[in-house]
Amino acid sequence: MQIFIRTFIYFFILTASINVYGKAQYPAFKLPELHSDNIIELNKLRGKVVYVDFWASWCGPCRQSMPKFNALYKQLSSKGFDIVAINLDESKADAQRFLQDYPVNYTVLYDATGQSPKQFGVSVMPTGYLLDRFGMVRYTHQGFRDGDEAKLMQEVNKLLAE
Amino acid sequence: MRCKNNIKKKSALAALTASALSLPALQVNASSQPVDNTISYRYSSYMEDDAKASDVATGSTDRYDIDIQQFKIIAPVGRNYSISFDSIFETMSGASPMGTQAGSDGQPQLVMSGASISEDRDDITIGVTHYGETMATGLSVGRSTENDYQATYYGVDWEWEFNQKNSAIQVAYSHSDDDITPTDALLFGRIQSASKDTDSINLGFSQIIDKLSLIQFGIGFSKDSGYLSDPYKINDVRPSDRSRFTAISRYRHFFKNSNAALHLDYRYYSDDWDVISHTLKVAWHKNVTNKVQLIPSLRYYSQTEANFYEPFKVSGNTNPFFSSDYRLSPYGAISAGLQIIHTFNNFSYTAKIERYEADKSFSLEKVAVENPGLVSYTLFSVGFDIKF
Amino acid sequence: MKQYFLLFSVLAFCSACSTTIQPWERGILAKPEMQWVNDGPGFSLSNHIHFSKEGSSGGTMVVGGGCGCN
Repeated sequence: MQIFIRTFIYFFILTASINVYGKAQYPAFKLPELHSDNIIELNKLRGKVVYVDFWASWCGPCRQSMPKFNALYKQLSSKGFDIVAINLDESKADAQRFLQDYPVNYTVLYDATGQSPKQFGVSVMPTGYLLDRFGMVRYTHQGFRDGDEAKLMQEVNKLLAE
Repeated sequence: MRCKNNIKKKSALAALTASALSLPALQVNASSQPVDNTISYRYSSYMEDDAKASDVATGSTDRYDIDIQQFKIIAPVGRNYSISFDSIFETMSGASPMGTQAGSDGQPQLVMSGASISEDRDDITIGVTHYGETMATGLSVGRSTENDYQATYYGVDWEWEFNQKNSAIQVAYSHSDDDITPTDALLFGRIQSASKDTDSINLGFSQIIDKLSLIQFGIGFSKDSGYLSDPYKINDVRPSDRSRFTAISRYRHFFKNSNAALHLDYRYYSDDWDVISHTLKVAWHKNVTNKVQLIPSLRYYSQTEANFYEPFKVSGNTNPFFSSDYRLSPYGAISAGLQIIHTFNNFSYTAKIERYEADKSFSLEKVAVENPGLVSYTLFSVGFDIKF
Repeated sequence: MKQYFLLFSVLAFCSACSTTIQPWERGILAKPEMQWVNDGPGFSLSNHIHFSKEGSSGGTMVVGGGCGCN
């Protein structure tokens, strides 16, 4: 009996540590903004179609993607679309310097702990997750190349129409 | 045998020994598609020190002055490809050793050619690379031309990243066909035309150690067959085969407190002519400001002699092969360089100065007789890169 | 008892030999000064000159490293 309980506990610990969030609902975590110390709760964005973009100043493709995302945001924010960019630079100063060259109008948060990309299962930089109005991940975009913003716009419009 | 002073400079030697084994590593970061189009230009000039008068039996003491221009373009194509264009245009003028003979003290002296007109060498390589999820495959072709020399070469390489892109392996193969038609062949009893070909294979492995460091190992095998002698050198007869082996190791480490990266590169080389060499390069890439990088570097080189090398030909020597080319002699060389790179948003410029000195005392092993043809030079280089 | 020891040994060994760096932890490895070659044309030129002036050649391959993006 003892062996059975021990095995069950080990098995439970093992499975619990697997990312159960996967492609379902994003975790209700809070992160500080990059430019201030305001804490933003992702939960509060329920009801909007949200694109969560993981980026860093050293990521070459991000120099192309962010201006395009900004254009998309300006175009569709009135229809209920929002973008939350989560910066993963080790040094905030690097991120701030990047945003001086490539400014954006949407929310930029800062995660120095590495927890949020792990929970989302980020496997390449940059990666973005498109969430519907209920907070379910419906579309994942890995990397970024010229022209990818058109595909993203398609997916956003689909979810806005739901 | 003395040679006339109006012999045209042989540029082919540079080509013969360089050959296509200096196939440029086109995609130096082959793993991901480049984000930007990049154009690079470099102008470089290096001047070999004049030969000492006491080292020269006859001919000019001027050594080479060489001007080089490089143009390079790398561009992403579509979602999964990139192309590159790499070129070197080189102009050489000066005299070079045609051979050696014993001086009155028994030490070797150089028999130099007369001052020369300039020779040009053009080298162009084009490459295409395909990028997959974890694999990249590349193909390159190129041609090198001088008035008495032509080489055509191609290469393929394949790279695979695994272990969440923390590890990578690469396999590369290249082949080159070279043809030489020495100038003034009939006049000086040189071979009229000859060819050689080269095959090489390289294997590499790299591993990220932690957030601040990474290491790489590689081995390579290569074989030259055909006419490997120098037609412009007196009595120069070399075997018609040469098999080479190289083993390399590279290490990079970032020092946060200094905001600088340490580069350590080592190469072991050996071939079946019995030449063994060690090369160690150290460089410190220091960020002086967040736009300016200063890079001091040091390179140490030491080689042993080929088994048929002699400082000068001695009658009664029964070896079918002979060369008194300094490149096959035992010696060491030290070079020190300083480079600056200044980066703006989409543009950067660079300037570099380097001093290279070869001497028997720098060799790891004791050298009895130094070849008088050992070369020392000063190199200047300036250039820029534009991203768009 | 032996099986647990084996399991823990295997896990311990795996964690010791793989400090796997996550994709977002490659900031320093992405720096130009941390690439195998910081100045491409300069590297080509050095090899070109050394192969023609010395008795050795080869050993110029570079593999892996970088930002790992896309």
